[in-house]
Amino acid sequence: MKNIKGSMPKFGVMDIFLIVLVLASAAGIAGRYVLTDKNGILASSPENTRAVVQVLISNIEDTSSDYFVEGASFSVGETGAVGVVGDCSVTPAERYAENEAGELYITYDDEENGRKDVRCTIILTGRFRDGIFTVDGRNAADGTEAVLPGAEMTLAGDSITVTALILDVTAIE
Amino acid sequence: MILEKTKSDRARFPFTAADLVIIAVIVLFGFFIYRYAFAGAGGDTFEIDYVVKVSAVRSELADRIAAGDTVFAEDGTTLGRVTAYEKRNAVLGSTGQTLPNRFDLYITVEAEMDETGLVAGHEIYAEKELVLHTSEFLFEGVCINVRK
Repeated sequence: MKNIKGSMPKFGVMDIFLIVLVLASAAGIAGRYVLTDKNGILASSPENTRAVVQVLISNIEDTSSDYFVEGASFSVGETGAVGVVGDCSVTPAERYAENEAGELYITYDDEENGRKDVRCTIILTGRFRDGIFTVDGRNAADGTEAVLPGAEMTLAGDSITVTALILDVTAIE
Repeated sequence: MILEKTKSDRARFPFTAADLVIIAVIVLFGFFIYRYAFAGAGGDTFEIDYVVKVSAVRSELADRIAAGDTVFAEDGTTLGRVTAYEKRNAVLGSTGQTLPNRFDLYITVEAEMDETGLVAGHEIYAEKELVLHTSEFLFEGVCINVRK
């Protein structure tokens, strides 16, 4: 049958093959970006869970340590996720001094008015992805942030912002 | 007259635009199949070991590395696997004094380097400052040795 101007074109085997090929390619590309992570590994969406994050805030003013009490809320890192303070201990700030032999030793600031080290736990909600705890931002545009021991994390309260060293992360069962 | 010209062109060049599209798609399809199925398994990579020195790590964090841990870059790409790990008392470079309660970590990582000298798209060379992490520990250090 001839293809007359104005009528529907006739599909041949090659046309169908082409269409299937294009659709399969599009599905493959979409699948690669939607279903896999940066390493090309099939990604999954882990459940939200809570974790206890132990942090150390070093060498802050005595008065600043008063902000770290059980139940206080802080905005965490770049994402702005909210963390709540759990246990907290305040001790005189640790520092180094040198003895007569030129050796360094650990000493502590004045108990009454000296600077302080704060060790506390922060309760955060996030997800464990491949064993790494990550928190999501309050908005999608804020992205996600990994919470790993050894990393530093900003804690911003109503009237205080400090940098804390993450010492440990444990999932709450 | 127009029909005659068209017939003449087709005689010299028998492919239509649709045929060219089909050929291009098949060639592209074949290229991507080759690239993803076979290119990665080729012998174009070689094994390297690099050592990262992490200075003055607090004692609470000094035992979070173990042989076998996978090492990632900040962007999440895999940069190898820990094969050896050593912990020494931290020493101040300027005075040689030992820092109590701090340790210098020497982490040896085994990785695959490609023919362009990159490990998963990252340059690894002595004196390069690296921010790496495992699933248990984030560390910032300097690469002090690369052995091919």
